Amino acid sequence: MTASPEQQALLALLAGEQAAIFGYGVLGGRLDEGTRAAALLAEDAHRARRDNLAAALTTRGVTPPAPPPSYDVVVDGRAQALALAVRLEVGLAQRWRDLVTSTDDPALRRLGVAGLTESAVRATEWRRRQGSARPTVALPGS
Amino acid sequence: MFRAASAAVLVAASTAVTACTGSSERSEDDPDVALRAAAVAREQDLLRAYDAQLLGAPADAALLTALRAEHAAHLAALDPLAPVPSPDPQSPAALDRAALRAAERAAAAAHGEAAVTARRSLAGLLASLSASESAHLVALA
Repeated sequence: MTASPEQQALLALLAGEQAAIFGYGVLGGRLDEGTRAAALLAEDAHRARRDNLAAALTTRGVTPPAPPPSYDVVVDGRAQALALAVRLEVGLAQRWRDLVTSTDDPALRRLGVAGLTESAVRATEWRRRQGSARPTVALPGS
Repeated sequence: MFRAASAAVLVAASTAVTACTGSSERSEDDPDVALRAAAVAREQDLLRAYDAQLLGAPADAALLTALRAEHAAHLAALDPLAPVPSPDPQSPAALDRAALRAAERAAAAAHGEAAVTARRSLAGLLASLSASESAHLVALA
């Protein structure tokens, strides 16, 4: 059975959240204590969204795929850690927006808006920690 | 300045007339007309709010100018022909920063709610606008 655009968006998001959880686990170890606390909070938030997505897939009769055992991620120092955090959130923002445009289900729309907002907010916070003078983008996720 | 302000009012009024006659004819075909018009009004209000802040020459004018530019981009994405409010030196005292943050928060909520019911193409844009306004709150913190 071919996955619907909605299911494809959910699957892409689940894979993205799984990658983000792994990525934050790696990059958190390259940060100072205060910044690491923010990374741990982000990781927890991504676990919660992963669980939302797995539940949404299960409800639609799709078994949520397990994450790959590992990812090819190398983070050398604080600057690379912050850059990876921004990249993870920017990538997820795109997938959350894709979910919004792939479904008419109000509950999934709300989940999509919430996920997109969280990723845009976290990307802004990480850019501020990078010292960026322009921590925001006009159209997150697009 | 009086002349410029009058022109802006005239443009706004003519746009409102066009929008009213247009929506009565097209609302059946395009349920997004009202949602888009409301989002346009929110972005215009936010632009006025930033202009009012900038009149006070705040220390973080560069940041406010950058955030204002993003609202101008939002407005253009919603409707490239929508009038962009211009700063009005006659406007009442610059509203305080808490009011600006409240305006961003309210716009984020309203855009997000509209994204739930809009058709898919507009829903994606509204979701991005909602996320952007929430990110602005972080930048303004």
